[in-house]
Amino acid sequence: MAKPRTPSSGDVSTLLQAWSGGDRSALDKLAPIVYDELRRLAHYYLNGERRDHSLQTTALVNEAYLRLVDYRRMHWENRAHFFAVSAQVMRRILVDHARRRNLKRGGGVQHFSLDDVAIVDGRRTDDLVALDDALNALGRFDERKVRVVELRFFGGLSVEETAEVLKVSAVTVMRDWSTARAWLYRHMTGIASPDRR
Amino acid sequence: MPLEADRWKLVEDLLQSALAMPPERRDAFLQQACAGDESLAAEVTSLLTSYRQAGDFLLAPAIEVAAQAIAVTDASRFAQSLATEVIPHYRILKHLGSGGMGSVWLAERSDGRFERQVAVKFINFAMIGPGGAERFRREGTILGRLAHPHIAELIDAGVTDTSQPFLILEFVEGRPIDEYCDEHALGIDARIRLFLDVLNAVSHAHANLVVHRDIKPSNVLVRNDGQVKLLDFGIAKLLTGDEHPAVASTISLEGGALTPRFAAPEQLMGGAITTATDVYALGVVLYMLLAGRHPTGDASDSPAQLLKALVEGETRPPSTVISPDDSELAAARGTAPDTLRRQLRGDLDTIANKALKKNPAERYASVAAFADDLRRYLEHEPIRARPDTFSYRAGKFARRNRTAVALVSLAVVAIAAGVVGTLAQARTARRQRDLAFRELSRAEAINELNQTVLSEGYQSPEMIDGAERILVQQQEAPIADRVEILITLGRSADISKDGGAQSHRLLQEAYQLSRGVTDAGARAKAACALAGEVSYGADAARSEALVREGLAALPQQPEFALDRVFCLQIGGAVSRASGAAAEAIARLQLAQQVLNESPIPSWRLDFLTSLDLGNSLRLAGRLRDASIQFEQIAARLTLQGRGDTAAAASVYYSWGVTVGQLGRPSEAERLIHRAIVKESGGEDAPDALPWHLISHAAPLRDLGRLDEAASQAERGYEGSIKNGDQPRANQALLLRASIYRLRGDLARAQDMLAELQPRLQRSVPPGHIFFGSLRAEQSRLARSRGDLGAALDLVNQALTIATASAKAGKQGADIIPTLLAERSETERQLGRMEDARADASQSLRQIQDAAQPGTSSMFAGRAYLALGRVLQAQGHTNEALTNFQLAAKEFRNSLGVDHSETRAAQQLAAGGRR
Repeated sequence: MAKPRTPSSGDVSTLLQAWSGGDRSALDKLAPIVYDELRRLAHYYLNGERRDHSLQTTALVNEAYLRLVDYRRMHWENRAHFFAVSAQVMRRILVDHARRRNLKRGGGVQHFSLDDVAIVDGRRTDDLVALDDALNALGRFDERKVRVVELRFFGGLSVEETAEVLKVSAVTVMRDWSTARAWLYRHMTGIASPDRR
Repeated sequence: MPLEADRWKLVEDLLQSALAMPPERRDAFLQQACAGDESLAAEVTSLLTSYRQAGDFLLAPAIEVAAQAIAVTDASRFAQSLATEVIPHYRILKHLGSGGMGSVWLAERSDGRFERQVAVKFINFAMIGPGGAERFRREGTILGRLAHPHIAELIDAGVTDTSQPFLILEFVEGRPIDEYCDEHALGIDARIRLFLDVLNAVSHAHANLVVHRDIKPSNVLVRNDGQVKLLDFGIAKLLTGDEHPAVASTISLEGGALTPRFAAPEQLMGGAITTATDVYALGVVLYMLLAGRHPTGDASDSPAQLLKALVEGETRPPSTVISPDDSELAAARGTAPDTLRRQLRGDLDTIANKALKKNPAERYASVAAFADDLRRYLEHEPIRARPDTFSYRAGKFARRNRTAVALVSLAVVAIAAGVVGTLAQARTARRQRDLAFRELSRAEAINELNQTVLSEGYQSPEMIDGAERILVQQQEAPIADRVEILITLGRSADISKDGGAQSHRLLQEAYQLSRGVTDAGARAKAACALAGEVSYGADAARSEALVREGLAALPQQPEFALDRVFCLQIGGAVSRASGAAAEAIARLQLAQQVLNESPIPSWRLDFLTSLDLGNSLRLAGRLRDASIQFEQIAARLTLQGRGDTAAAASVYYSWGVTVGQLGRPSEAERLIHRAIVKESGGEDAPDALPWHLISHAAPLRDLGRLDEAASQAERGYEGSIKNGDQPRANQALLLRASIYRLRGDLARAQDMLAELQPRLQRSVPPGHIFFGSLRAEQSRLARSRGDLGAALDLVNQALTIATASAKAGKQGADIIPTLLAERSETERQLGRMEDARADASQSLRQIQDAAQPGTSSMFAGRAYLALGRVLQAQGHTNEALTNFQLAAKEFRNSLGVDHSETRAAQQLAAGGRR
């Protein structure tokens, strides 16, 4: 009963490069690598009690990002471009994955609610599909904030790294980040915006 | 749009300015800044509100959110399946929580004998095989004897009617000890007094030969009445007694998972788990109660750092980590930072240091000694532990840096350490065969556990490497232990990655080592394990010799039963690989018989031999028996709650292939699809196994879903090429050729077959059934082109090859009826009616003989159709119609009502009535 092996994470840089160069099939090849990490993490959550594991969780997630995104980053000529592309790829893959899971559970209706899942007005803030929609809406009038969220949330970058990639100051990133979080949270939880006509 | 953009910029500026000021000044600021623009003020206010409510929204990285969503769904799916479980005398009230080891429910007595509420823990890992229920209960009884006021009582343990193991525990409502102390602002002395209750409880358990193994604040609860209760002695391991007082050997209920932050260094490095291990964990808890932080500090956020700190780092004395900024922390201890530091300095620093020594031998010799020093401290007597001198520390530092630890990732090491640790325990129990079968049962259960850990998702070359490195460090382990561990690691290594090089190396080493031991079990297993590996390398004769050597080494005593089963199972695989299906079946049936009579159950071996038996039956052409076999295994797995495992996926796969060969493509398609989804965890299965994809393509093709079939066959082909798997790549090529033919692209089909021919000649011996399949497909292609003469010639060649192969006891029998029906069609078109009629009748007879009663087959449909057409051509209209009707029925049930073959047969059947 040998397990299937996914491509080694050493391919990640090459695949990201291919994808940014317009090779659509690279995304298909990246997806299994990301899923592998996802399952590894999920397995970990399933086997742990969260309280005592918070420290290790951080470490695991960092490690996952290191394996997926940070790999051989120094061989990439344009560091900023590399990060930007990987964050976008992570968004595409994770949102697609969430969308399929929602479908499998019956159109996203049958959410299982455990104590720590925030449900506001029947909409979940941890729903990556809803977040994707909200990001698309935000992108219609403020593209840079979408990039900031992509790099930080999907790409796992720090404020400083995000600033470096976007070639803006760290202060700007922090402003963008807090405004975007407030706006997206409002959009996703359905608190009425007085501006909405 | 520019207006909108300006306004958005204004909104953001106001929002940011408001966020920068204290909350109470924001309203006034906005009123002034918006100057009567109500909608602007409302917009900013609403964003401020949602900013406040957002909490940790988006603060955890996306991949963590996604992984957690998967974990939550999986855990609650498992939990929901338990809501209907029935436990005698108890009524389940509500779900309290879930984790990887299972889920916990609140329950009460349903017979009114006690008022008391209890916690019911369902164990996720169903390690219950035949006879296991008794074993589980017995183990529960031992733990149940640990009566102590500060240990949460284990009331009962057992297995429900649906084989779900459970524990019934005292229900404790309380707070983790560190939180409780902080909330009640307990001073240092009060904390120590509470902690002494914990030590008392652990000391009692140690006196009863039980080590907790996983002490941490969340397992030490304090109730509202101030009573301490220690939880989860369920994972504790019983000490074995005289010879190895320190080696634990009870099965771990939590799958051997430990909590690295609280694990002692020897746990992480795979050392022996002793009472000293608990002393260390208790030291960590004391440190946290005193200093409010973990001894390795809170900043170690990279796995490597954490491991390094745990294994190598000096522990800073608690007093030195209190800084003047810690006023909140000191307040929770009823004091100020300076006073707290003075309180800890000296004796308490020394006591914590003594408990947290990296080397188990340097720690307090017992929990009682630990408690004694704390009591002395409280009573202002001199403590017994001595502080480290500077020269002692300096010498230690130098020594430690010479032995740099190879750093793998923490998760890998922790898991690997757990696996190696428990393997060694399994071995120890096995070596003392004169002890009791109970110990052997446990050893086998631990083996199963490790196999599961290694095969269900954790297995990776790095992990095996990590485990092997730990093994290398354990030079003092007995050789027989090392042999068994090497076997387990070798059999867990992933052969698809390096062509089996790692596996071969490990098993070869195990075999060499085993020559030097007297233990018959270890010798036999090492020989057979290597046989299994060598067979992968296609040296059939050497494999067979090793299997015989292994079997001959085993005495008849019942305690070697499982070793015998192990060898017979591999022996079956070896026979099967050399094409001797009948011998494989005999070996596996014997294995099952031995297993049934064995005093020690093994779920894993039962599963493996059953699955192998099914596959051997299939290869021997006994498709009906094979299908029934797979159906029974699948039912058992579902019943055991293993329906979602990779093991189940392999059953669905084999079952699907079998019913496909029986001419039931709809069922085959469903089963193989299920296998793909379960194996690779996703609908579109980006990492599906190539041979699963190829086997999926065949029923898809038969069902007329040609686009999907083509896509699966292509993916399977590419995957096989990448894996260097020539036979399966060839199989995929043949499938693709048939799909092109059915699409009408005869040229492409021809090209594929032309490519296949030389490849086959290179990779399989002449007379192999694969040549039969190739000739058959060439014949179909010739018939599609209208070249009936060539078609007849080719199908004759195919029949010759298949008949010879079947006669030699190899594959081929199952395709003969199909070939006969096809030859009948060609003969009829050539006007050779008598031959055509004879072939169709014979085809039909063979299919009916092989069919599972009550099932339909597409092959039967084709045979009826062929026969009907001959009869029609011969003018026997009524008989022809009957055959058409029968064909329509077979097609309807095996292919569906809308399938073109069904409709064609129905038209023919209806034709006469018009």
